[in-house]
Amino acid sequence: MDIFDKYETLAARRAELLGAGADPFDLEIEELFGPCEATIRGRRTILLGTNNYLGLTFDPACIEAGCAALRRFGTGTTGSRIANGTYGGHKALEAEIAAFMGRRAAIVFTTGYQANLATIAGLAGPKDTIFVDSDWHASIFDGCRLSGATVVRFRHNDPDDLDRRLERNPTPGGIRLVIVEGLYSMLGDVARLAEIAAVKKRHGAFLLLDEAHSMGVFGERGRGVAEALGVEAEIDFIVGTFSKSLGAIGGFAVSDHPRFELLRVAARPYMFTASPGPATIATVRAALAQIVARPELRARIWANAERIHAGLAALNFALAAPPGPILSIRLPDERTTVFAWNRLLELGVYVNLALPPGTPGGVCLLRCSVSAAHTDAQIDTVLERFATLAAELQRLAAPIAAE
Amino acid sequence: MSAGAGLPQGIASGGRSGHAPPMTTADPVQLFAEIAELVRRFAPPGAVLERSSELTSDLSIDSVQAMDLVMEIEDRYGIDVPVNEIADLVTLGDLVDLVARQLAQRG
Repeated sequence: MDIFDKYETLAARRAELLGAGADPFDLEIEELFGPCEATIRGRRTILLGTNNYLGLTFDPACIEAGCAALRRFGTGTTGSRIANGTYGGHKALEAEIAAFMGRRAAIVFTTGYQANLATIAGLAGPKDTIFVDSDWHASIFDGCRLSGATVVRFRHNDPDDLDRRLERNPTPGGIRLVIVEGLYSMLGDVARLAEIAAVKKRHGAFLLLDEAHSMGVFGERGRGVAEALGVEAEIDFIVGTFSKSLGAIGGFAVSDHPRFELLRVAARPYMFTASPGPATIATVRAALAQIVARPELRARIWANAERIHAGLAALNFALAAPPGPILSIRLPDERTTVFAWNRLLELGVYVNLALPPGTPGGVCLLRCSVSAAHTDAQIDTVLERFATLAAELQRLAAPIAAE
Repeated sequence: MSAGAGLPQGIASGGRSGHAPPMTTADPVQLFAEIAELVRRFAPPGAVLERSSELTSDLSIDSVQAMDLVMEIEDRYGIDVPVNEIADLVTLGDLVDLVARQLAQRG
């Protein structure tokens, strides 16, 4: 028996995908022309499948800040935050994130994935119960497992189901932690936070909110969905990332809890990994300053989202949610979706291919994401190329369905 | 990318629209029959459902579908099956035994 035999099903599925065209899991971005255009497979391509919501990856102020930090502090810290990896920049960024989110304290992590791992496994332990929305991100799932807590899933965005499960699991001798996301990354739907917060309050549970896809985009100041819905006071812990609207890599958690910073000596994914490099920290600080100084970036991404959503709807594509930073198109089956994804790539549009088990309810999706940096001309071109695809899908519908 | 998932279209309404009174089943044969009926919705048409049927290899139910299946079972019986225990399930018999244990715990 070979050590990789356990992946036979996975290998067969991957081979099938490769047979249908480009490798969606190993696609090389060969050259970049700003935040929204690149060369892929030798072709100039418009990017409609990044998480570059505010288009800050090529912001001159961010690039200058990164270059200056590289020269002054070097290429890496070579150590963890609890050893030699805490520089002034890490401390300054934590103070700035806390101030931006309006919270007592912030902790910075090396990746967004680790932010969830560290925060969840740090907050919950074997005597506790975690109640998690069934559309959970992989990092939340892994954080729950790492915590050793009892994990109960509740129906997606369903406060009544959460209520029943909290009722059934009083968890004597432990705490109860509810985990939801502000904006769900696959379908682009928004959490029913007010109702969920009311339920958690009634049961005396804690609430952790992941604003990975919503920070910088939702809310008057860009703090996220909790700000937009006016329920920030009810959220005990917020986790976020630097790799989406802030255009870098890393993550954070914020809280008003007076003992929150105990996580620095309790959360293993914080303690046992090298801290983010100085250039990364510097670009994130500059990007955060841009979010504060330029609210027009938020206005622009919403305007772009409305335009693309309307254009796709006019072509009769089935959109999973109202206009927002994530626009997911439902297609009838895996074969059609893989064909459409490859065809868009040939036409010069990159979107994300999202298939089960990575999607809720076994749906097949073309996941599109919007950037404030998309120009009107780019959006026109994208919609023209989607129109070509729509016509082809219509022609192919009969034979694909018949086989 | 989502690690877990919601629920298949068509089955959604069963869980979301109101909450049926929890059922209690003490008879193991009847419990098996009831759970097999729910499993059938997730398994390929014509699949043979026995205690020894393996969820993954015989019934093509992957880890994410298994969690959605368990949610259907939870709704039917008014119980919570910790996700931690779903990973250990191999056969349909394991699933039925797990549900029986949760029902017994609930009393």
